[in-house]
Amino acid sequence: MTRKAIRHAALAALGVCTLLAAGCTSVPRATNELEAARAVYRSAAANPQVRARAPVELELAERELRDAENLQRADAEPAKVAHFSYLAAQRARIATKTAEMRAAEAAYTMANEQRNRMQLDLGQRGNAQVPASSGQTAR
Amino acid sequence: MPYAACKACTRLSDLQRIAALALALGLGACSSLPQPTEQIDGARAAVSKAEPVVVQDGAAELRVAQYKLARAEQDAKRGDYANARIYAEQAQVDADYARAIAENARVQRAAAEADQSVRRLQDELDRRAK
Repeated sequence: MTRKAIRHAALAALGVCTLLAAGCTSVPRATNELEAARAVYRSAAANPQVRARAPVELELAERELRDAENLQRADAEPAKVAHFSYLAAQRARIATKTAEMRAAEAAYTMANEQRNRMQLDLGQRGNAQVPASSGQTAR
Repeated sequence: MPYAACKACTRLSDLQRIAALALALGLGACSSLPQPTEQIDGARAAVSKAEPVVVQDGAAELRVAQYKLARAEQDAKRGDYANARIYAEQAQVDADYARAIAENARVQRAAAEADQSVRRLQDELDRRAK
């Protein structure tokens, strides 16, 4: 090998090394998005109402969060990590809203049953003056 | 000397061949990204499911979903399947979230009204018990 060739090889190796080093140190990470998603998921998962009334929705959120974390660990593109983090956070929010809605549905059903019993009670007291109920308002 | 020149020439063409192959593989990887048809269909379905339900609560979230769906459709048309897929997937969860907000608000109102009518009846029963 000529001296020129050796010098070229050394230069090339140096170039590759600096590129690699730059690539390693300057890899931007979607840490903020992932942290935000973790926080939203954590608060949903810590809510007993969500665990009881929207377990399937919570599971979907957990799956997206796991995908985001695996991508982060595998040094995937930050945009990809941020995307899956966003999906995880939205799914956790959906789980929370769904659980709130199901709790309200249960409260609505109970109140309706109670109202029917009371109306019956009022009727059985032999009085026709049952107050006008507001009717079934839930569509 | 001509022999050495020729040898250098073939070596160069080997390098060129490798470069061309790498480039072709790279381009192949880009163009073989699948069209996110399923994701765009899913986003469209979620948005049209949310639209009749969302009136006030969840309106801002629905607008975000509609914007992202439009972006996904534009990107897909331009052949930018990677971004189209991201926008479509986000549009779908945004629309689902908008619908969850709207439905929750509706049921909360209904439950509050039912509760109020129970209280009215209880007052009436108490009044008659006197």
